[in-house]
Amino acid sequence: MLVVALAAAIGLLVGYQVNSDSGPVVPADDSVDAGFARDMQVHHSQAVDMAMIVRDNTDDPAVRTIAYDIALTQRQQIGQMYAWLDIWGLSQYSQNPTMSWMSDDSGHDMEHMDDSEPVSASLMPGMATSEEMNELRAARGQDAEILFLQLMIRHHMGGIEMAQYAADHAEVEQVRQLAETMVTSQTAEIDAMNDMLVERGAEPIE
Amino acid sequence: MASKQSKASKQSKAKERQERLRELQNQQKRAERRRNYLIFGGTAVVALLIIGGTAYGLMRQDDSVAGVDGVEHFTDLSNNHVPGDVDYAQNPPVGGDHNEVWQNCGYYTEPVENVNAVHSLEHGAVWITYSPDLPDDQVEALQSLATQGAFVLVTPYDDLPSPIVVSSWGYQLQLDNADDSRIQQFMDEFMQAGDAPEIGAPCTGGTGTPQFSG
Repeated sequence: MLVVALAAAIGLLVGYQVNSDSGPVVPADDSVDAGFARDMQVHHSQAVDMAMIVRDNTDDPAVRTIAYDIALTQRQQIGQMYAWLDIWGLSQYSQNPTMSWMSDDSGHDMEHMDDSEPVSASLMPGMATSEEMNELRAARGQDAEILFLQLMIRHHMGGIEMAQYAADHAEVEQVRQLAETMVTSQTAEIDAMNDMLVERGAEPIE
Repeated sequence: MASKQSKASKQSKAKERQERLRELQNQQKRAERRRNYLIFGGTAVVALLIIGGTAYGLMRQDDSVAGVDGVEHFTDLSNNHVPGDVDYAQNPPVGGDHNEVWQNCGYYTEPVENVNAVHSLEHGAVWITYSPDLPDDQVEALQSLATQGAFVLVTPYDDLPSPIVVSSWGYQLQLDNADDSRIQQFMDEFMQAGDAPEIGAPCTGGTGTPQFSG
């Protein structure tokens, strides 16, 4: 009993020491890690939405397959990012403005934003407008395939920009690793989708 | 003489042994007491650490719920998929049975069906409802919130108990003005958090085409 009690007490103290000295890094609310984990969940969820829509709107096996791949991969990555915030004791939502974790905002792709939308619509790099999403919902067959490929290539390019920043600046190793994975896999997917666009006689959009 | 000496010697040896025994017994008792103190003390320390840790956790939890002034908490909400309309105990509803299809998150200029919005709450959405006569600048402020996360639903709502009501599954806050910082606090506290039974499920791919999403 004595041994157990002392061991437990020492264990707690040692555990505390280890945690405070060399344990897992817990990023701050305004860190690159937390900002990336929040914003990339939102960014990913639109990609999942686009992929699910095109799977409903075309029978083409190649497009349906890459859409399936993107949807399930990004859904799983959303889960990882959600869990990080949970473990860090941070909320999923933040009052910090979207994208404020990327101090270098020169690359923000706001060009495709419709002027009729309020400036406060803080679209992240590469994200589709709601009008574009509605067009995709309405499109069928090859029209849907082409629009999906165009939107997803642009979406991936913006996502890579965000992920590269996190890979370079995040504190937590697992965050840098997942960000690096996104850069690698989405770059490969862009190549594949570009080929699919060419096969359909279409070109990427800005 | 020899025998007497021997007897005295025996007696003194016996006395010595007794004293030694008493000393040993005393030592043992002291050691036992020490050990008891240590066991008791050690156990008490561990128990206190456990109790303290739990209390700290509970206090933190309590703080977070009470962290936003004026939030009401509702429990025992059912979450079955049912066809048709549902009578909800709260206005607007904060949970309960709902339609199998959820409302896509984002900003709407027309009211949406309760039964769809409640399904979005189940998925961890925060539902910001505003009175149709809310001034335009305030509606714009709410609209901008809908663009900040994938789990925010903003819709007009008739017959609200206050100009703005913010709800998540089981939690609700009545407000008079869109500038109230408690709206953001509520989102911070309850978006994809709190009591929502299906956190992780999407707020896209359901019904409705919001004006702004993501």
